[in-house]
Amino acid sequence: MARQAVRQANRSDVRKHEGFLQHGGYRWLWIALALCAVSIAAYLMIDAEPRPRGGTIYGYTLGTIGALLIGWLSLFGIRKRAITTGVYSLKAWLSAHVYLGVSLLVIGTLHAGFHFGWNVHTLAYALMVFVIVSGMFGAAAYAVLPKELSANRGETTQRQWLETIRSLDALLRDAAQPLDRTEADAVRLSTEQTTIGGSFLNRLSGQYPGCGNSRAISEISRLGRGGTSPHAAALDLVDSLLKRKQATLDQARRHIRLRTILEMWLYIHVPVTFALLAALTAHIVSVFFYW
Amino acid sequence: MTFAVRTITRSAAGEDIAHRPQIFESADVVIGRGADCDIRLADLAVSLRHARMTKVGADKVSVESIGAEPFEVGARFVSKAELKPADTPTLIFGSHMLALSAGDDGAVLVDVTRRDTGPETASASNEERIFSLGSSRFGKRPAAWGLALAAVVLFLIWPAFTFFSGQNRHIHADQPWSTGPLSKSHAFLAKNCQACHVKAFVSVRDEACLSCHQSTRSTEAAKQIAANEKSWGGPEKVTLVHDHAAHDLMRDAAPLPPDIGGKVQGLFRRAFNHPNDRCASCHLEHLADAPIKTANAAEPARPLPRPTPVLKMVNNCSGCHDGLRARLGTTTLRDAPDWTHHPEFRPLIARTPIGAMSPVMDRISLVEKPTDHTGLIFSHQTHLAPNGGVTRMAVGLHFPGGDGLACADCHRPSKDGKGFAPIDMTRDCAACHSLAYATGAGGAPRLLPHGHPEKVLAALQDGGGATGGAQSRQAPGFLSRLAAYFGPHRSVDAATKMKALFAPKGLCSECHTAVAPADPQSLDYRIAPIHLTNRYLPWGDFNHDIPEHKRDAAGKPTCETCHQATQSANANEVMLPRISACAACHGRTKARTPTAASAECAECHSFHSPGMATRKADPNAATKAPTATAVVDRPKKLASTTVGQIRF
Repeated sequence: MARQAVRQANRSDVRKHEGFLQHGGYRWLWIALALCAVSIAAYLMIDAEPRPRGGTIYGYTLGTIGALLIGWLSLFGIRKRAITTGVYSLKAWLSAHVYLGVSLLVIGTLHAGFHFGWNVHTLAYALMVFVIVSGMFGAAAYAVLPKELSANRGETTQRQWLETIRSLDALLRDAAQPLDRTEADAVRLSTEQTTIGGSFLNRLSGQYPGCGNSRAISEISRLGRGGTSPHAAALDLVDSLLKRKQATLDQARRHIRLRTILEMWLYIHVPVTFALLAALTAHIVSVFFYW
Repeated sequence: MTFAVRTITRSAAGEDIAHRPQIFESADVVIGRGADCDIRLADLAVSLRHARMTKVGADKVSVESIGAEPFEVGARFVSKAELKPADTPTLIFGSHMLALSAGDDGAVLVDVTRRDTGPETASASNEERIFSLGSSRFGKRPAAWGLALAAVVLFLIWPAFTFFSGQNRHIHADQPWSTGPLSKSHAFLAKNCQACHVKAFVSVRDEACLSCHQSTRSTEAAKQIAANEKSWGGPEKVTLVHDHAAHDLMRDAAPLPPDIGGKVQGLFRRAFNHPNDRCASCHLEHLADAPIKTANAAEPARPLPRPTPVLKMVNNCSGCHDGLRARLGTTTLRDAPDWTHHPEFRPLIARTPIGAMSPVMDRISLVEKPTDHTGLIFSHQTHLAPNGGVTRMAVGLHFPGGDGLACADCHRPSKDGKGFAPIDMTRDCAACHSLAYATGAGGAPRLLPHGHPEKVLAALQDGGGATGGAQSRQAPGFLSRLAAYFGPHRSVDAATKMKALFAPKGLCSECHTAVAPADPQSLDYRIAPIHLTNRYLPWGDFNHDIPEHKRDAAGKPTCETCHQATQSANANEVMLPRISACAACHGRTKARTPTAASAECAECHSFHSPGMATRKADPNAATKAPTATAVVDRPKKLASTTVGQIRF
């Protein structure tokens, strides 16, 4: 019995989700920290005259390590397209990608010897920092946001929201048939001028100041309801449909906002990585060109 | 039958389905969304009662808005229109299209179609676009490739192109490649990368440096370089350097890397064609903004940029000179691992007796108490003996000091004060050793031509009759001594005088070895060559002008501390001090010796000017022109040309 209990406990442990940051008991965090510690210790011990720089033996060593790291980190874009498991699983790669990527900040800075200028060398460094910082943002987002995303979504899906909105629009069109011109125009604001996603700023802020559905709601309430006439009943129905649509829109937009945050850093991370690879090539070639 | 209204819908397969027409026998029909309308359009963009269509003739209908909302005919919004069904006009209300045509029996056929307005906003086909940034206009790929291409073109292709096409003098596309500012002395080359980086992917070679700094180049080349430098705003003065030794000797003399790290480094250097025996291995450029460390932390940092390139020695002196003989079997140099193991001085000695003008010279250690072959008969001891005849003569002649001869009476400092001017008999000896042989016009003595034995006879013949007579101030008893040589009679002939001068105890033979002619009838006397070594230690510098070298604490000259002249009876004795004399101060501590001095190699030696001490750093160097081991003045205006490795 006891053995079975242990087995079950183990099994439950195995099944417990382990994020990419915690992968392998923070294996890559420790490796990255060790790399940084060795680099910093060597930097402090080696007395480079007249100042630490990339042109010393230590500088070349760090530069080589840094360039190889950058090359390997860039390959993640290819690697991520093949999802595998095990020691060399995609998660292990991602974990290494994140921690070694951050350690590159230390290696790159020590390689530069804290010395910067208006040249291709500092350009490569700046692009590297840009890529790393955007990557740190992305890692943080992926560590925090999926939970929120899941909480917001509940048991629904993106497609279900769209279906809901679509059917609400159809209902609204039907319900508004008896309404007069002004009222119908208000409903049309909802059915025809509601953007679900919107611009980048809309998506990121979750604010939709000109949202057709919101305007429709305020317009209908301004036009007044009440009474028991069929017309008033139609207005009441329209109003309740608009509010239901608003609730769905809000949920979808919260989802969009979270997804935007999850995605947007990649729009810096990936293109700047390409620019970095180009600048890094120029940096290395120029050093050997004017050797 | 007036109006036949036919609704056309589209099947799932995309085919139009025309429903059975609805017939209106009235003269007009009302078009609108309202339930009471004849032609009902379930479209919120259509008013409840939008328009009325009236038949106004056999072949004409009139359409008129009921409210304020217009409708569309022929791409125009109108409130009223008269149309001929025969023309098949189309009316548009919201998303509905009413196509009129002439039906049977004069009826107006109205085909009502709902226009295709594209997928709805919330269509499932829009899902990705709605929820993801992925389909936004600024895709990752175009941005990625665009940025990468821009970086490669701007910072790699363009600079490389200007280099290979030789245009980078005018288009400075390679400036972003610079890793840092050049020192002040080279700042004029900042935009002329190719002056030093002559070949792509080849490290800066000595030829590039020597095209300006070589000490042995021709004057003409120097002028051209100077002009080129000037045209680029370069300095008119340039430091010229001598080779420390032949390049291959230096390469072989350098020790092998002691540790595995050094060996690996060496492998990389070879693999990447970046040897560390180049000028640029020690003189580092592009670091002019690197802080200059001062010995005293409280001292303010020197102004930047640095005046000269950073000096970072690949090997220090002892690195090569310790164990040099083992590595460089051909060398005659002794190993000098450090000051305490510095070999004894080995002065440059004339090894053979002076029989020819070019004696065989050799370095012989002072340990061996070498004897020089000066060819001179001279005793410092005699000249300096306190109660000797020379001293008495000096007192009688009122020499400075009044107590006999001092070193400085004969040894005059050289122009720079570091050493001594070569002994000049007529200047340094003739005050006593007079060469006067007759009285000339105005009572001035006539002097024998020193250094020219062949001219002596002619001089004697010319003024031979005036021996003796009035005593001169020039030298004690000069004529009477001559008379003694020449015999008691004043009227001896020139030939007799000549023989007397060069005879064993004659005037010349006092200091020189006279060589009598082989033919007894000949008067062709000669003097054996004199070889006074001006510098016994050609590879070491010594500055006699340094106060501690010149005078002791009491202010007395210190010549005898090092040179035992009062004990030296023979001019062939080498009176150099042993190295231990130097070590009395050099390498000591101030606590032990007040006149303690450094034991650095640079005190007496330098790398680029062998035989010279290394110039001491000028405390004001940063604000001055670059210091120079040897500086040549350059002509200021010359035509610009191409010289050596530099492309200006």
